[in-house]
Amino acid sequence: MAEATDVCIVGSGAGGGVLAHALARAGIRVVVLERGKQAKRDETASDELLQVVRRTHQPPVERDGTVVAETPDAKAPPTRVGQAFYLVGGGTVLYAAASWRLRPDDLRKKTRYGAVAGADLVDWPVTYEELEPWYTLAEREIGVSGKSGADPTEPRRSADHLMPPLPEDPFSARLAAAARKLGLRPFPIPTAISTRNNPETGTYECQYCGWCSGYTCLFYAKNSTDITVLPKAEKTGLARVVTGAYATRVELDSRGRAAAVVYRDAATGKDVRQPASVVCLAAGGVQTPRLLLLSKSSAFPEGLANRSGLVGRYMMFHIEGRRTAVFEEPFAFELTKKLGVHDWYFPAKEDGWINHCSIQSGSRRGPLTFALRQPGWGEQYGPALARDFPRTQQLQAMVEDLPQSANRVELDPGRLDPEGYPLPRITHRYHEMDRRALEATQQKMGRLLEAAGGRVVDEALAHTNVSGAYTYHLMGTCRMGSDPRNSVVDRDCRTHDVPNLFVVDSSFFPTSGGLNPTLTIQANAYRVADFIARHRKELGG
Amino acid sequence: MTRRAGLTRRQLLAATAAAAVAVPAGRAAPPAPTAAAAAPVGERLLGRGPWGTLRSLAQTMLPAGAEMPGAEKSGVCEYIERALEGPYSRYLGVYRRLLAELDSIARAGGDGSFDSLPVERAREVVRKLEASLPQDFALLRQHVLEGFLSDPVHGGNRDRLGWQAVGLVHKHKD
Ligand SMILES: Cc1cc2nc3c(=O)[nH]c(=O)nc-3n(C[C@H](O)[C@H](O)[C@H](O)COP(=O)(O)OP(=O)(O)OC[C@H]3O[C@@H](n4cnc5c(N)ncnc54)[C@H](O)[C@@H]3O)c2cc1C
Ligand code: SF4
Repeated sequence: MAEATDVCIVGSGAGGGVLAHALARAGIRVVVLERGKQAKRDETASDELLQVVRRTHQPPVERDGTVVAETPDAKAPPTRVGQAFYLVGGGTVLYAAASWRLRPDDLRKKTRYGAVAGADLVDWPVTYEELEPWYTLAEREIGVSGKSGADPTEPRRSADHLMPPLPEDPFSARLAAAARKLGLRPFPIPTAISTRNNPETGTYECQYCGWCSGYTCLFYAKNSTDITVLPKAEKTGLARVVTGAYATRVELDSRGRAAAVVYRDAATGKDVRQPASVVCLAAGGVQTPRLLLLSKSSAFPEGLANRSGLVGRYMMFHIEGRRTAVFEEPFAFELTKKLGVHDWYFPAKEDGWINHCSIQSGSRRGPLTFALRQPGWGEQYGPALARDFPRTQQLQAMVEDLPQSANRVELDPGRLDPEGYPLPRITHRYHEMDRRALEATQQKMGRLLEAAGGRVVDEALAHTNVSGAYTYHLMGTCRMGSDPRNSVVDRDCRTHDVPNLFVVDSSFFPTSGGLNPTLTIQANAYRVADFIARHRKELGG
Repeated sequence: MTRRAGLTRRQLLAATAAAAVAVPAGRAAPPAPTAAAAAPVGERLLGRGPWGTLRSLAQTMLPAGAEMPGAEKSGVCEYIERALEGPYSRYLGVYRRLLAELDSIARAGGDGSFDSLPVERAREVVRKLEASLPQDFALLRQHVLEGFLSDPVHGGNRDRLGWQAVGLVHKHKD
């Protein structure tokens, strides 16, 4: 058994990393259980083979993957989606770092659009104005660069971005000019990438090497939690990150309060019990509900904190739209998110769908992944590759995924991981409106690319099923709300059923918005840390 | 390319090796002479003849051209032999099957071994190989591209020639 701590956090990613820092800074002892290891920057940066093709930083998908299918009994090969991602720093180590504030209306879906058949729209129990100071804090602590006021849908902010935005590259410039000609208002995407050396966050100026999305940053310029908040947390002497610690169960005491987290120690293969006064789950939108379902007991036969029956339900991704075009001239290699277009973020009345949709540049493929998708070989192959790779650009859309209770994470009855625990299984089917919104957005992206002089080379067809059409944005599986009958956690992200158990990753999102979720996870983690710090006495039980 | 059609595979390999040494200064350091440095592992794994055949095969799939370094010069087979020794050892059987099939297709044409075929003939034989063992061939194609475009730490993409060819300027320090 490990020495007892004040707060045990499961997961060191966006939510867990921030929470550890904020709690330790407030004088609270923290143990972070992290399943993964520290990323080896120098070995993996720009290594497309290991990071994207072979994926050696994850366990093999056959043994640890998540089945995603449209119906509960459909067969499908396992995917990586539930593994996003076992590393100190979680998904933030590999992410593209787009760092958005949700819009006030993202949090007022029900009020703005009313009831929609087949989707359970709700308002968040917190408003944007309540979140605003925490967004500002997160932007400072993580280090977000951007141009305040440039995004036409940007909500009120009490402070500017910490750093100026990434400089415009030739492709963004071309796209921006074309967008302006169409009467649109393109703007630089805010990112957690340092545009100057940054003593506040401990990060360095971006070297514009291009290996951003999907890769560790060799230059300590992408402000992932493993190099920003976690080192600061450990420096206090109050926070400790245990790596190779696979949490498999949250234990309760006789009063029904969380008492400890049991984890499998990768080094010894043994189970270790970590007692804590407060337990916070931040294992990501798939692994957090899985851990709750694994922690069933006589008091909670359907899974811990699951009296509502909603743990795992309302699983939301964003539907990823992509349009590809080939241009006359070559562009430098870059997997960095640069330019956003939000003039169509909110739907028009006549659209017939209510999803919020963001359009973003910077989602090309790496050279190897690109080449693997180009069929053929021989005399023509290499020259065609050399011509097309630098001339091919993609736009990416984040289309809001409406919440549906049948879309859910469950324990897979047929598949155990090597440690003997049931793997997650996801049933997910897009709402009719999701598909229509995607198709319309695909067409808009095609128009933009053509206006910029590109020749669009793929189809606008809407995805008809889940495969290939989801992002690594995993939201909604422990819905936040004020009524214990239709939500899992309350407005402070505390479970309704267990008073000292919290959920601080993107599982709490009641709706998904049309924007990448990470800054919201981080802002919310600062907010929850503040709540825990203020209530530490009563929470300590 | 038709200009070269009369050359045999072996002559072509020799020609590209020579060209590699003649790379203008400032573009990329000349690679070490390949035969001595790299042959043993691949030969040990597959046998001397088949290993030579694999090099010719890779060069047929990714030939050198005006702006193209080609498989030989960019270290594709150095990548493959390292992979076959490690993470891809399970594919050794696939390679043996592919090379045996290639040889038998070549000999069935009556012109002797694959290595000695003129370029046009070699291409025809490889097309037949692809039709005969499509899955194995797809795997080989993947490995050839991995050897061309992966981070050089894996043994291929020599001097980042693959990246250079597709216009990727690498800004990482060594
Ligand atoms: C290629 C890529 C690009 C992305 N780009 C963006 C972007 O531009 N903007 C954006 O906002 N988002 C982006 N994302 C998504 C972003 O990474 C996630 O939204 C974010 O990391 C989620 O934070 P989290 O705290 O919910 O979970 P995570 O960051 O995933 O952290 C969960 C942690 O829990 C650990 N864990 C899981 N199970 C257990 C267990 N049982 N025991 C112990 N530890 C466990 C994991 O190892 C992991 O470290 C991207 C993701 C990817 C993969
Ligand atoms: S472009 Fe900048 S942030 Fe992205 S990986 Fe390179 S140095 Fe890091």
